Amino acid sequence: MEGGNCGYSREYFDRFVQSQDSSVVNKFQQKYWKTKQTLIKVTGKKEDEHVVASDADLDAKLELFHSIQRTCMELLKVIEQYQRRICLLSQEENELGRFLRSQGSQDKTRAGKIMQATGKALCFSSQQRLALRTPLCRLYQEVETFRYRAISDTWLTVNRMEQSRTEYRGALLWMKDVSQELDPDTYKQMEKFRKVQAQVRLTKTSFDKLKNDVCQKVDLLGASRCNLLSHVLTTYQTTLLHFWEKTSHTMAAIHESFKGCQLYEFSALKGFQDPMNKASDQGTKKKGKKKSKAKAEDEEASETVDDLLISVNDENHNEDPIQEEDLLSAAQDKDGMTLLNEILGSTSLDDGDFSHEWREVFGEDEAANSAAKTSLTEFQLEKESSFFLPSQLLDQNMNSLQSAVSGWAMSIPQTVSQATEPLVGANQNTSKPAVREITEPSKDLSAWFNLFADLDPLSNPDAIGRLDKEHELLNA
Amino acid sequence: MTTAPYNYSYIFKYIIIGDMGVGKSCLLHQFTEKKFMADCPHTIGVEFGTRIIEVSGQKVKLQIWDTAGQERFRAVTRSYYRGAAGALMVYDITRRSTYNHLSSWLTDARNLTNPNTVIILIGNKADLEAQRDVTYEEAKQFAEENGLLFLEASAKTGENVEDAFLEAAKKIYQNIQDGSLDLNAAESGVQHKPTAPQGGRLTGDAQPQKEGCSC
Repeated sequence: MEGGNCGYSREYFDRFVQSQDSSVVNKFQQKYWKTKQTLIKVTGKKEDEHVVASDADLDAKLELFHSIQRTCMELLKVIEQYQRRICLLSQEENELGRFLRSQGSQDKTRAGKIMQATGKALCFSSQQRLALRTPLCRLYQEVETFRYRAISDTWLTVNRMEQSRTEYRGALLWMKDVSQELDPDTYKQMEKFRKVQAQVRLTKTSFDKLKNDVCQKVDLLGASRCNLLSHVLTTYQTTLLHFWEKTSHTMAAIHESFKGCQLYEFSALKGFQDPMNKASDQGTKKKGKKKSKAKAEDEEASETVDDLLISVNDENHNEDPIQEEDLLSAAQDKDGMTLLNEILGSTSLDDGDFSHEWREVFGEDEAANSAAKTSLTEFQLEKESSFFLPSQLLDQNMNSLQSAVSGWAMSIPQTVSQATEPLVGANQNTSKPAVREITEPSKDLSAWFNLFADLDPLSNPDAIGRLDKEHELLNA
Repeated sequence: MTTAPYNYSYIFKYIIIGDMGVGKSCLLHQFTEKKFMADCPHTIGVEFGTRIIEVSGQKVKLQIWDTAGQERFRAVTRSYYRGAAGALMVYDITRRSTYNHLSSWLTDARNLTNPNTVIILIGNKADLEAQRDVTYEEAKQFAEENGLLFLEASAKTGENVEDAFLEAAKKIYQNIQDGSLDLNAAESGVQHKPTAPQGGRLTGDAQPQKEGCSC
């Protein structure tokens, strides 16, 4: 059909031939080129840059897929470790609790009672902690299912796509080879070329389709994983909040019930100053007296209060109802306070939802609770004593150690203390209940209240003295 | 094959190069079939077309290689440049990117063809004036800077399509007359076929005696 005037290319006829010659020779050739390409891929030889470049978006999606795979694996490992550690921690907590209880039962003093109560609280907390395992288990299962189903399904598709890609690239190699010597006027050569062309066309179609599949699947995979995580982690978060709520209530209760119990010589009142400044202040001002709890309890009632008043107003502890401390305890407390600050600070700095929930759960007692909780969980008994310091002054005349367990009076020192400073912003009314609560013991605390009234511009001075009502109110 | 007397004296090999989707296959189809092919599938590798035209009284058969523009075929299509007498470098006037890639196409063309190859720049889709993205002037300037012929054409309407092929052919023929294109040289892209019934000795490289069966 060549020549003539029609200007018609004879090759045109078979341009769109779709059927493929499936002779043995042809199949063999296809296999040969596919193998050649596989070899190139496996040995990591540099492939044609244009061919590679044309698959850039696909390769990006594959990267994403592999990262999802990897991170799911890591997440599983992390969850497992976390669970294990919760168990260990709970165990230890329980042991400590039991130990305290047993020791406390042997001790006849007030300390014994404190130990017992704390021990019980620890045992309780350890049990509650185990509750965390449930949502973690759930998370683990979900992620594992995700791996076994979703990821492996996508993996299958990716593999099929890779197969197809190898075939396709093999066909391209073949075409490149055939193209080296090509003349449209030679029938035999054209036949060869058409064969290759058909093969390329076929593999290209299948590859393109699989490529689309892979891209879509990977996108879906990412989205569904986000979904999964956000659902299950919400449960975990809620459980965690509940755990904290329960244990902190318990701990705070103990704290309250033992306020004013002066067990140790303590040497630092951190309450009225920035821990940092305070440490340096305290360090530089060594006043002489180490006051024992017993002594404080007896005399110096008013004078200590006055002293306290003065010292607080001064922000210099000139008088020294409050101990001056040896540097060591200052340092310790400072560390404790800094740590406490950080913890409490971070709590209030959580992202909006969380702190909102937090506030919902803990309400205006947030400061008290967190302070109590963190103080107790972090520092246990010893640190408790340092928080008792102001109460020591508070309660010189307090003879009732049977004050209501749920009184929040002890929250005062904490509210005043720097520990709650970060929370003050988050929870303006913290001091209010504290101030209101102070009183349940007795009237000679009015000086103390005034002190606090001075310190807390938000407190309601009229509320001072309205003890019981508020007291009741805040005892959930 | 046939032993009919040839009615053309020369065979010029053309290649059509350019980005994917600029209209290479459509240009070829318009030139050989005088029709506009609306749904053109992507060219796999290369497609061919021929037509006989007349240049300066001489009949010339144009053997046109319409190459694939997709990037993955780049390595494959590079083999086709060899032995081309003329190259049509096509861009789409409504897509700036196709114009911007011209330098790389030109580099390929210059590197893989012989120095005498005639390259003509075609700005296709001239009928879509409303969506024009490349001005005539700047393309003309680019062509002049690089020693290329230049035409804006439309495969859809047929405007300038024939001229494109013809202009290139004329230039090639002129080069032959000048002697700047040596017919005996390898890969000149031109095959001279004297009008003898027996398929004269073919100059240029590649396939001897391919025309017709040798009976």
